[in-house]
Amino acid sequence: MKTITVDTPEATMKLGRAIASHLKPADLILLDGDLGAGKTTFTKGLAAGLGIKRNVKSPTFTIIREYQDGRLPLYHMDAYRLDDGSGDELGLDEYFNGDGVNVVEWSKFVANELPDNYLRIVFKRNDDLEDNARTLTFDPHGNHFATILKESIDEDGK
Amino acid sequence: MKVLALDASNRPLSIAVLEDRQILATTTTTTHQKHAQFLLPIIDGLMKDCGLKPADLDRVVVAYGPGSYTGIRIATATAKVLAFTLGIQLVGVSSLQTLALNFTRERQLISPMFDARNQNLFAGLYRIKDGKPTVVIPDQHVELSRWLTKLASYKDESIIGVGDADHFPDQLPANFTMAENLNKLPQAANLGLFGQTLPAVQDIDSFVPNYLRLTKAEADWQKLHPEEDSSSYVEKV
Amino acid sequence: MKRNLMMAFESSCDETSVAIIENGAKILSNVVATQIKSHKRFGGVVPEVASRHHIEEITICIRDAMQEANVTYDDLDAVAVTYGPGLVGALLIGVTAAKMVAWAHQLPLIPVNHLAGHIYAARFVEPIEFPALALVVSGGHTELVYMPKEGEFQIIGETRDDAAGEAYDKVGRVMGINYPAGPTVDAMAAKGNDTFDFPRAMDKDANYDFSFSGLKSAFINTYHHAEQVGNKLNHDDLATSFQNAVVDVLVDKTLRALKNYPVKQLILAGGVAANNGLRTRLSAAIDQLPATQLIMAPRKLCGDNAAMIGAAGYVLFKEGHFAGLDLNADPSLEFDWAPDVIQ
Repeated sequence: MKTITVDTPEATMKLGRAIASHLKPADLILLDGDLGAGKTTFTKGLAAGLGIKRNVKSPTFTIIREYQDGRLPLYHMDAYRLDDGSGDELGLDEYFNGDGVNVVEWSKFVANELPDNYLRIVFKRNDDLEDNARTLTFDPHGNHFATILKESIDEDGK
Repeated sequence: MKVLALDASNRPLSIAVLEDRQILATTTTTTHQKHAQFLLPIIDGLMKDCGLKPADLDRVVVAYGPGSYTGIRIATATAKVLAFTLGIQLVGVSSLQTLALNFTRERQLISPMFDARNQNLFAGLYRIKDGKPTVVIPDQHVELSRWLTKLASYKDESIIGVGDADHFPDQLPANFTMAENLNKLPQAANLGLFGQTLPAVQDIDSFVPNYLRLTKAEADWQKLHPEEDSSSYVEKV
Repeated sequence: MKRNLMMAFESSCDETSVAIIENGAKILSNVVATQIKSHKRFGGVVPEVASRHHIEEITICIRDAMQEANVTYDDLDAVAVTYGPGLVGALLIGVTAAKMVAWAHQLPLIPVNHLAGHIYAARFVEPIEFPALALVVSGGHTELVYMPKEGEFQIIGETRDDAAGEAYDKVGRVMGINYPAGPTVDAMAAKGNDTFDFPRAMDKDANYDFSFSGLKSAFINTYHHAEQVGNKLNHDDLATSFQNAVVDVLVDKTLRALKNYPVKQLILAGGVAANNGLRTRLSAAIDQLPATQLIMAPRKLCGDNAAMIGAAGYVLFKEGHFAGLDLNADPSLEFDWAPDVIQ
């Protein structure tokens, strides 16, 4: 478990970028936490780190957006309002065992369909500090993600 | 009677074309779950192999659930719209009962089950009577442990487990035997034969998949609003 | 002259719709069954609930559309359907239904992009003249689409994060306004004053892109700060300030695009095209450009409906652009970017 406080969207993006270079196919990253706390911003950084040129837009409307133009494909999902049992409709299993990196926002909605290993990041707004202050807590499940975390982000979030 | 039968409830996809008791053509695949893409091309191919046109059909028989929400919805939408647009008969059969159709030994008990994750099942108990599976315990969405409790009173009889029964090899009691090979798979040919013996759906408009589960959103809502009528939420504008 | 009759299907989100369209231009029927009342209970569209409603409604919509148009299957020449973008499970009902009607009656099947449909809602006001530019604004999209000729769609600008309609829903949620928040915020905005001076993100940037995520955050920050110190903010003023920020950027970027892309027509389309603030401001702005005609989709056809799918599908029908029986829903379907965006 590692906690990092950032004060700009750029710093959030930088964290995404730092992790991207360590990712491999079928990796799963869960982004949970407050509305407007930087989940999509983090994903933009991660996409840039994968070499993806296209805009990473909010996946809310279609639930899933696919980006194929990077080192690995990126599958960005917003599970908000997904029903238990809807995973097959999206083909969640196929994504989680597939060829790309999976980023899932609001993961509690698909809690029953998650594999054992993933990196969970919880985003918190710290409005009492200042408007753009965010706390990101990294919680790796499995050795692969613990190693990634150790290698990509040091204690002061650089 | 010319019949089209289909089952897309889970990963296997099975389709058959029949004329009365004769099976004209059938296909079953287990290679992928892209049923939306493959279902109609397979139907079209089988029909052409039989020299039939869509308008020649008299009846559609569909395994309409329970199962994967998408799978049963694609199959049900296909059958429902086809029956509606051609003005032909429509029959829905339980997707669990469809698996029980693979067995014919008189008085045999069969427990078809679909894995609904986290130790939950869609399951029913059937007994072969006059060659056909009849309901002993109705289809339900149930925890595995509860289901096994319900089956305890049949512990002196052998029960055939079919469907995803082999997902729980260490948890099923000793009187279970697992279906093997072709008997593990839904067979639309059996579905088409059985479906000819059933009455057709009266009101095609209201024919929907047999989900056996409310959506979570709907269940939570009904808990908070027990008295509310939930039948009129869709409005024509 | 033969009248080409098309049956069109739309089910990409929370409306089940079937229409019968003549020659891509005349609506014989446009049946829309909306699920808004159902999803309102949950504060937004629940995908599984939407899929379930679609399959409940689909044959009723087909029957009503044919009866209202007074046609039989023998009269039909083609079947058109939205195959994306949208919710995959919702799209699949329309796609499956369209495939079965087409297959059963041996009719060509026409795959339509939902956004092309929104743009072609303008066809029911006037024939579209090219080149044209479309501003498509909805719950899932905010895009400037350049159309050099019929049937060609090129993105020259889009949202970098949230769609405009999505921003409306999210700030609406903060103010306690039920989904869909757009019409309510629009009505409140007409009563308030722009007192908060929210950011106009990317307004001065030399491109045609939009960003509403920063505006959303600024709104939420303002709201929460006030709450923390026990301040009650005027919701009408909040709505006006928010809407002005959205409309300013939409109009400014559209005008910038029109400068570099001189077109005969500007089309305003999508669910948010029904917004009064946007319609008024865009009309006033276009009055300054006599060479460009503004076509706003009729309010009734701004939301999702099958008539617009029939209009867009007719263009493909004339080109002989048909789908196979293996047509699948494509939830992430998008137009391509223009090969060279003129800045």
